[in-house]
Amino acid sequence: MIDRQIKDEIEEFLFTEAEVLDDRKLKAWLLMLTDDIEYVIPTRVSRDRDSDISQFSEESYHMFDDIHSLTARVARLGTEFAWSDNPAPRTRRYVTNVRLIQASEKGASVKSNLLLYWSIDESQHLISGERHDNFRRENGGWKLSKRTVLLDHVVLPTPNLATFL
Amino acid sequence: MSNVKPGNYTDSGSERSTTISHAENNTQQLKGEVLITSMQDSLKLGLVPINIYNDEEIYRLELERIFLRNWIFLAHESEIPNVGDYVQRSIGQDSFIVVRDSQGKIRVHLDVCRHRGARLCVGDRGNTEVFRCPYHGWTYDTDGNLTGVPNRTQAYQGLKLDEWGLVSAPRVESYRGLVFTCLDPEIMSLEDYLGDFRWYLDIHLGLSPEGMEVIGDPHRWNVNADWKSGSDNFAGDSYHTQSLHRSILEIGLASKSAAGSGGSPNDIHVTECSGHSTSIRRNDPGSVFYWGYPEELHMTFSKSDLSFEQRELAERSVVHTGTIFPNLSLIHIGGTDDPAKPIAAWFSLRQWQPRGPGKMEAWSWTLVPKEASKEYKQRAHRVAVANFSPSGNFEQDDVVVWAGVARAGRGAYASHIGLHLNFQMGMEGMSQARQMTDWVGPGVVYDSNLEEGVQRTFFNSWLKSMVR
Ligand code: FES
Ligand SMILES: [Fe+2]
Repeated sequence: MIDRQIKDEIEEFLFTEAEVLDDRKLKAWLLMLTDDIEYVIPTRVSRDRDSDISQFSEESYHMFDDIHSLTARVARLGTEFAWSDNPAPRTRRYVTNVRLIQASEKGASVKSNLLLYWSIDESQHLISGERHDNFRRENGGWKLSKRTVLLDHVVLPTPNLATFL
Repeated sequence: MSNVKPGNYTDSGSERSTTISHAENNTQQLKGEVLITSMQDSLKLGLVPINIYNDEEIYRLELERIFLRNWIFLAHESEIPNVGDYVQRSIGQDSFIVVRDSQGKIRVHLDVCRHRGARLCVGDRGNTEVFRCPYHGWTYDTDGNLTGVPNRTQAYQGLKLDEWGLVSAPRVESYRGLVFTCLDPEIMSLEDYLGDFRWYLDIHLGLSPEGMEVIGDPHRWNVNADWKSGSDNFAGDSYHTQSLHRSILEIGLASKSAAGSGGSPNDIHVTECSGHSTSIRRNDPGSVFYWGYPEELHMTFSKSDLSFEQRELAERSVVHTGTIFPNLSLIHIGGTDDPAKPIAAWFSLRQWQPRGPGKMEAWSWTLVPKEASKEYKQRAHRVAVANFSPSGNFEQDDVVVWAGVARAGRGAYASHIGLHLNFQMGMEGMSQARQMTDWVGPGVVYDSNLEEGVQRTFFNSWLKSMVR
C-alpha cells in the first residue's frame, strides 16, 4: 500500500522532471537533485552475448557528474555562447515502464525507460535508454540522488550530448 | 589561375563550368579531379574549395588515395593487453579485427570470411582463441590461418587451407603503444612516416616512464561533418577558442592561457613536420606545470627518457593539439568540470572516421600516465569527459560548426562560384607570426599561434596523397 503511493509519487516526479527538461528550465531541474547527486552515463560496447563482461564500462563514461559539474554545465548552456544549444532544440522525453525496485518512507530506487526525441536545426535524433534512479525524501518532497543511464547505443546517434537524460 | 582569387567567384565559376562541359560522360568524377587540380594552385594562396568538405567523388578518392595508402591509427596496445584480446576497428567502410595472437603479436585481419564474406567478429571487443564464421562454420585462429572447414573430405578436399586464411593487413606497426596499419605494403616504416613529428609525440607518450594507458572504452558518436574538419581543427586552429569556446571562458572552466585568444609570446605553431603539425600553448619560462598534472607525477616525469629540450617544453606546457595525417588528432590539456575545483590533466587521442561525404564517426580515447593513482585516473577521465567528449563543454560546440561547413560544402551554388575558404593567416603580409630560427625542435616553427600554416600542413599532406 505504501509502495503504491510511493510509486505514484515517483512517477509524478519523473513526469514533472521530463516537462522541466523539455521546457528547458535547467535551473529548476538542478533543484530536483540532491546535493550529493551522482549522475552517470557509462559508455557501452557491443559484446558476445555470452561474455561475462558487462557491455557497460566501469571506467569510461559519457557523463560522470556531481551537482557542481552539472551546475557548471547548466551555467555554460545559459551563456550566450552555447552554440550546441542554439537554435533551441526541440526535445520530448517519453518516460515509461516505471518500476519500483525498493522503497521506504525515506528513499526509493526505481527503474524507468526513456525515449528522447531531439530535434535541432534540420536534424532529428532518438536516444533510448534505461534509467536506474535513487530518490531520497528531503523536507517532505522527493529528490533524485543517483541516476545511471544505460544507453541502448554503442555509437551515439547525436553530434553531442548537450542535454540531460 | 583566376578561379583561386578570393572575391572573384564569377570568373572562377565560369572557368570551372567550361572545364566541366568538356566531360560529357563523367561530370561527377571530373568535378572531384577538378577540385584536386585547382587546389594545387589555390592552396599556395591559402585557399581551400569548400566543396571538398562534402563531395561524393572526393570522398571516394579519399578512401582510395588517402586511407588505403597512409598509416592509419587503429588502437592503443593497452586496449588488448592479453593473448586473444581483440577490438573491432575500421578504416573507411572496411572493418578490421585487431587481435593479439597466440604469440602476443598484434595482427590486423579484414573482418570478412574468405568463404563467402560473412563477418566474423562478434562485438566491439572481447577475447577469443578462434574466429568461427556463423554462415558455414569455417574457423580461423588469431593468426588468421584457416583451421577448420566443415565436411572438408566430402566437400572441399582440394581446398588449400593456407591459401584461404584471413586477409591480413600488409603492414602493422606500433609506436610507443599506438598501433597503426597501412594497407599499402610499399609504404615507408611507421617511424619514418611519423618522422620528425616523433619529437613532439614522444613528449606525450614518453612523458611517463611507464607509458600511457587508455581508460575504458573510446567515445564514439556520429557527426554530420566531414572528417577533415576534425583533422584541420586539431592541427592547430588556435584562432577559434576565444570565439567558439567563449562560454567556457565566461564561466571559468578554462584559463585564458589554455583557451583564450591566441597571440601570446608563449604560443608556438609547428608546421610541416613530416606532414604533421601541432599547436603549443605554454606558461612563462621557468614555470613547472606539465599541463596541470599533480606534483607527485612531476617526480616520475623527471625519470622519463625525454631530452633536456623536450622536458623543458613539457614542463611549461599548457595545451598541445595536433594532427597526425590523415585522421588521428591529439590534445594534451588540463581542465576541470567545476570552476571551484583544481584542474587535472589528461591526454586524448581522437580519430575522425570517414563515414560518407560530409559524415564522420568521431572516436575519443582518454589516456593517463600508467603510474598515476587510481583516484587520479578517475578524476582525469571525469574532467576529460566534461570537456572533450560528446557531452564535453568544449567539444559540444566544435561539432556544431563543423556540421555547418559540411552543409555548405554540398551546395551547388558554392560549387558553381568556386567558393574558397580562407587559410591565409600567417602568410606573407597577413600576420605577425615569424619563423623561429632558434627553436629547439623540428618542423617549420612560428613564434605565434595566430597563423594557419598548421592547417595548410594538413591540406598539403592531403593534396600530396590525392594527386599521386
Ligand atoms: S561465409 Fe563464412 S563459412 Fe561460409
Ligand atoms: Fe575547439
